Amino acid sequence: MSKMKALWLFLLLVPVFNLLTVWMLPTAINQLVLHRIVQKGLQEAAQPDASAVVQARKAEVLRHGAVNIALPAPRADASARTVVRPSPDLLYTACVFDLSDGPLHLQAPVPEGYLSISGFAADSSNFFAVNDQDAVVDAEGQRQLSLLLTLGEPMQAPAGTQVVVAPSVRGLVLFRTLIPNDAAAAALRANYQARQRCTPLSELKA
Amino acid sequence: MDAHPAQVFFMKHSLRQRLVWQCLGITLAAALVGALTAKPLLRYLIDHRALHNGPWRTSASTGSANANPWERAAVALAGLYALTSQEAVYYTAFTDSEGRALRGSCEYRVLGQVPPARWWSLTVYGADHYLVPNAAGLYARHAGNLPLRPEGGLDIALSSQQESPGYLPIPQNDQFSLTLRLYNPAASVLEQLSAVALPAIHRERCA
Repeated sequence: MSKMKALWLFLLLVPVFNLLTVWMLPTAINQLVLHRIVQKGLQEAAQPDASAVVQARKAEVLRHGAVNIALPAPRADASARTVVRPSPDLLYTACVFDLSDGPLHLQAPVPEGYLSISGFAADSSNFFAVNDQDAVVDAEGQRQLSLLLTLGEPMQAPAGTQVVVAPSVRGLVLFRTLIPNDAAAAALRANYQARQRCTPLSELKA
Repeated sequence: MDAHPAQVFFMKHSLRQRLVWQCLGITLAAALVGALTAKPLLRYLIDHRALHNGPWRTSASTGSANANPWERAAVALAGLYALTSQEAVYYTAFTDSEGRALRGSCEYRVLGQVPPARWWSLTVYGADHYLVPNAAGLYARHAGNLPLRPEGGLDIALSSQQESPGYLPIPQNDQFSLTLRLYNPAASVLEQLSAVALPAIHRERCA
């Protein structure tokens, strides 16, 4: 091969590999962070807790391998290292999802202030977001958000439950609960964040 | 007389084999250069494709599914799991209003209007994009812990030393950045992300 041809081949291939890297980067970073969230979830679930209710939740997290289950994170402070640029005025609950075994039911009671549920595909793109303003009132008079996350299989959703089609089998659901002031934080954690659910539909029917 | 090693190589390998090796070498070199130039290219695009508003920058398509591969990669690098602009607008500043990098060894005053939204917050991040340790455990000023001035604006002192009312701690010496979050911003904000009135970042003094 002549030097000229070699140079042309090189110059042609550089942008191709550049684009390939840029194209794969979000997926690679997302996979890394999802892995980190799962590891963090398993670590926290392995620590014993005095409360029997919390202990039962932790056993559930371990049984699920911290996937397809809500992982409520403590309020972000200077020690938080899971996701970059966390907001200290939000309570985050993560749910790393894998829809290969069927749809997931997402549920959150809605407080007075801002709350949102959003979904991120394997390539990290945001494919849905709903917030407290979309809440419906359930049979007990409680304002709540209720969603079914599926891969697009036809299904019947109960009234008040919105069906969301995920563009990828794996991804992340994030619940964001606003902490309007420090005094409200503890009650929001106990009454709202701890009751956010991300449950396989098969387990709800069983 | 013994043949030179290169001659032996050329004798052993047919023309076709040499071509395969050449192509492989060129491909590997191109892959390396292509991958290594991805990050500087993304940094350049983050700087130049972003919407600018004084010292603040934001992206109109953060997080949305129609963001192109470059925008998605840029968000994954600097703001993974960001929401779309209807849900939240993120204005980030790495410099003061005169374009000088934000440094912990200086003191600043953030002064001006907050655009209409359901909730606003201003958070300090260290050079590593995480929250900065401080004795007060204070990482953000927001609608819940800082009353706006009667005329609707905010006035926040950024300092690593002084604990004046309404101050916000920054790191001792390192560079830092600010994010102004607007949750459920008014439609008027979304229509003019780069023109809406935002607080200015004044550098007061440096150590």
